[in-house]
Amino acid sequence: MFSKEELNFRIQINSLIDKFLPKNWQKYPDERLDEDWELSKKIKKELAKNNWIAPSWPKKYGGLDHNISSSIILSEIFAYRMSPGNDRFGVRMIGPTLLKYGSEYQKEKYLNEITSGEVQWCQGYSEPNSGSDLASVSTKGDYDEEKDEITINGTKVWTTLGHRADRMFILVRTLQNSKRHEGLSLVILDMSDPGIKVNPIKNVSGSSSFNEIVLTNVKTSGKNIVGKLHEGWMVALDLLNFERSGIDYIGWAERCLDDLEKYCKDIDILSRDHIKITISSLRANLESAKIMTYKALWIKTKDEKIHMEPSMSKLLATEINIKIHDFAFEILSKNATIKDNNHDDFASRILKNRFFFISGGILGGTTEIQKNIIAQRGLGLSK
Amino acid sequence: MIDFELNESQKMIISNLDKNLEENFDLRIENKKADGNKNNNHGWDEIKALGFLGLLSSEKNGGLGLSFFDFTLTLESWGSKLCDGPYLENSIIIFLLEKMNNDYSNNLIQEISSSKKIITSIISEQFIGKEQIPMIYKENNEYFLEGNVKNLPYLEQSTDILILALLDNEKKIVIVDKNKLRILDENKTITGQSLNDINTEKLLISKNEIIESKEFEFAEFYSMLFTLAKCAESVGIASTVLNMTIEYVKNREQFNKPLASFQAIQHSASDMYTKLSETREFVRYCSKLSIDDKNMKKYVSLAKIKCDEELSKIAWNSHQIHGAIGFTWDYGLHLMTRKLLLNKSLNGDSLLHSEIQLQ
Repeated sequence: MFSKEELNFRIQINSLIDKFLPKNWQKYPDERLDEDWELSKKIKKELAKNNWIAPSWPKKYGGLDHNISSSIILSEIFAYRMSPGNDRFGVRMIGPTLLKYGSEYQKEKYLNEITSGEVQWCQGYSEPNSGSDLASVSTKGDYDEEKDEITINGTKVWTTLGHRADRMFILVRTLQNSKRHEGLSLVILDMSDPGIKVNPIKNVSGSSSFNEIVLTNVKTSGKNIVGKLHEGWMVALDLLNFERSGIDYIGWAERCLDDLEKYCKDIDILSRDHIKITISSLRANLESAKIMTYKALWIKTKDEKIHMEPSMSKLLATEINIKIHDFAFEILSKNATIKDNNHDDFASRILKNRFFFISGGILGGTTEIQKNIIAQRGLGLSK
Repeated sequence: MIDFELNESQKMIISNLDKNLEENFDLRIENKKADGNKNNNHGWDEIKALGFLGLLSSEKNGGLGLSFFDFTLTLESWGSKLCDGPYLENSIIIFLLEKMNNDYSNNLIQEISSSKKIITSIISEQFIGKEQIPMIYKENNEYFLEGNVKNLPYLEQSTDILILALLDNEKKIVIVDKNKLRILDENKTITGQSLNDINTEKLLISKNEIIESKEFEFAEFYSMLFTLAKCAESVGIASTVLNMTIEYVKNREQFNKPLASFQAIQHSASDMYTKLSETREFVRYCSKLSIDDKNMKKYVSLAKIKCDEELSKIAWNSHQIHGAIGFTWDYGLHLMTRKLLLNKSLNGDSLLHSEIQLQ
């Protein structure tokens, strides 16, 4: 599936991570912690030196004009190694959206910032009363035509890395009393703009990777509207499709399954029939889900249509990741529940990660929303 | 480089085959077959007439010279119309004979491609130890085959059989004229397909009838490719199950609205569609691997595990969505379920394939 050059790229990325990641790194990156955040920044800078942050982007925006395979390899390795430094929001969400809908000003400024590795993005979609029903967003964006400026008021929530971000792409209602899917705009904000307050929220895994963002009279130029004013709904949906490949979950799942298989070998239970069958079933489901995530990422480069593969691959990747972690917990049992059992790194990370991966079935559109999309848009089943 | 696109020639082959196989596809006839009242092998004549038996043979041997991946694409169509006949067996034999590339193998390929010789086989089941393996012994410089072969499919459509036999504890492949064999018994599968038990009671065979292949273990490769081919066929069968389900929920109304408008039904259909798409892409990916790829054996086992897990589940879910109509014989949904279960029962179980993939 991958060419020699692409396989060589895999080796190069692994070597780069080797330089920075401590040996026996066993934890999911927690960029809330200063040490992980500093590591993330160092790795991104090193990637940027080689134009490896977004290798499939055009050279003039800091890419290498590679095909999608390089980006897949990059994301998969970062997830497998559990390494910080993989910029989901910039490289995989707003970046491709700007390439498709952005003005030349936006491409020049923001894409080059992303590939420099010095700017962190976050996503402003969900609101306290607007979760799965994204079209109900009520954060106001008042556009002043004379000043070519938008003033934003409202609250966004579940904003991953909001406390670290330099920029946010935010969905706001620019036409009040409009139909649900109309009168919305996608806007870029600078997180240092006056009027933005970030309140961290602790999640069930014990870390505060996401936040509430309160926006009070935040002003930004009309130049930061992505696509056309009031016509941001399709842009916002397309951005979600870029988000939904599930490739990170595949990397995390594969790492967990490899470690689990080794653990079973080490404690001499891999010879038991039910262990062999379960591990092999998980492997089959992982490998097949992986192919679907590749297809989801590939198909986005082929045409402008909205495809079902991103929704499918997100479902499959999050599902297999959970199944693998659940089986790991079943095998580890008590070993995974005692907090001071620090001598066993694999055991100590599984439950923390399992809690964290609850988010996989929620963010970027819940599992149930993905199934609605597949049924209604993919199979043509009426509402 | 990652590429999931089918080329124009592949699209044309599938569309042409679909059209030809659709013409005589009749669930009522298939129902009679499953009932044991009709011996029907839908699709077999069409495959021969289209020249598809030579799909995997090289142009030098008068074939189309297509890839194994192209072949598995045709099997999705073949499976979707519940076709039956020794298409898989003969194509895979040709594919392996091409690798041997000698006068004997080239001659045999040309005979099969032109339908002069049709071979049936059960070596995949013999290889994994699920069916008996006859013995070859030497007496006065002559070779004799001795033993029974059970559950041999497509004997009626074939001129010869290809079996695995042991000569001094070494696995050999033997091709024998079917007229030399004594038929012991006839059984039927759950789809109504005939299976024969045969006896080779001190059957004199010539040295030519024993295939020597130094480059690779013929039986092992046959078993691997046959397993993958059956996976592709099953994907086709399951796609018909999904199509029937979608058509039904769009047209059937309850509580004054189509079943398709209920979220419970939508989610179930979405799961079926997602799992089928995933399984199809995975089988296609495995079919693109080279036979010389050291990972192919492992990936075929993973594909088999995946198909066994998902495809019959899709059929059982479809019965649930169809309600009472899917419980009737005449509606015909059970035909696909039966074929999927039959395929699941072939080529080894989850334990065997788990052991292969963990090696």
